[in-house]
Amino acid sequence: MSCPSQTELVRLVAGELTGEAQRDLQAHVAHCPSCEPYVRQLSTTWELLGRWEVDTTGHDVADRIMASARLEGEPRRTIRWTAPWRWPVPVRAAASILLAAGIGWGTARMSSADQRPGVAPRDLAEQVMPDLVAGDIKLDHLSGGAPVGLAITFLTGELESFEEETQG
Amino acid sequence: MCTESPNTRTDAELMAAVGNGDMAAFGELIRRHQSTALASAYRLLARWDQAEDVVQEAFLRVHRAASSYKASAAFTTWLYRIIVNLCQDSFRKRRSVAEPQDELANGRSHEPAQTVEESERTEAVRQAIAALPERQRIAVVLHRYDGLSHEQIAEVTGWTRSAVESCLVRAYAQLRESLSGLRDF
Repeated sequence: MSCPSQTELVRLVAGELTGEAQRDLQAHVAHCPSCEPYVRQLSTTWELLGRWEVDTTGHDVADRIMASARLEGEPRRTIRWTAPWRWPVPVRAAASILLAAGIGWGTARMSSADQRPGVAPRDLAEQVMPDLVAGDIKLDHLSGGAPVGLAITFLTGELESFEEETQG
Repeated sequence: MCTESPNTRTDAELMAAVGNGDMAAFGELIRRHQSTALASAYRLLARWDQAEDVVQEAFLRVHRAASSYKASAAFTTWLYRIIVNLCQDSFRKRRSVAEPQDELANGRSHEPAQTVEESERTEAVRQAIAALPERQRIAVVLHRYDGLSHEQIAEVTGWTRSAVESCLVRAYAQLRESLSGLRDF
């Protein structure tokens, strides 16, 4: 048997080897002029290190830990994001209303901001944002043109269809 | 609802209870592991005040994360990992503040009652460990005193297994040199 690595000899001294592996290594070490002194000195070091016992009496921190933990309150719970179409119906309804209000407000602001003398808002939009205007036609079809309808469609009907499709 | 007393439950069961706000379960975890945690932290830091702070913070982190704890690794492995990380933070602070090297004197108290010879030997060992580079000190403390295998040390520290083995070989060689003046050699 060729000489084992120093790592293996450390494992031998630490008692991490068992059975045949341990026996084979011990047999090699007993007759190896290189490994025997290494293991002997390592064993002495190992035994010497073991004499350092640490007495933790007088260092009890349990009360401090418990007091701090109580001040911090209950363990934090991980908040997991849930897709809107999986929210409970009352939550979806409330979210729809808020979304519709936001869209309505935003639309109103855009309309007032885009008012220029002699230019109808839609003409101006076509010049500036042709793709959005085309999209607007589709959205009108879905929702009947009302922000509330759009929001409700978004959060309920259309995505329920999507959910059915994705769930096969 | 679990009606077992806290001290018959496994660490994983206690952690689940802690995640549900059971402070008695948290107290039991502290009771079980505090002494080992303190001894490990003290051996790494050589200062009782810092060891106590590390252990307190470690258990508070356990408490904060209890609701998301998954028992994929042993609780002790997780706790050791937190302690080692906190000790490494302490090492970094020491380096940046250039703390005076009087922590060895500060840490001499509270060894079990010993003869003068035993006391000298213990002190020599303590100083030899404290003189090791930080990674070697961590590896030796976890290996020799906490009984962790090479694989477990790798899991706790995040080092590769070969890095752990290399660290241990160098550390024991250094310790052999440091302790060669003692009568046993």
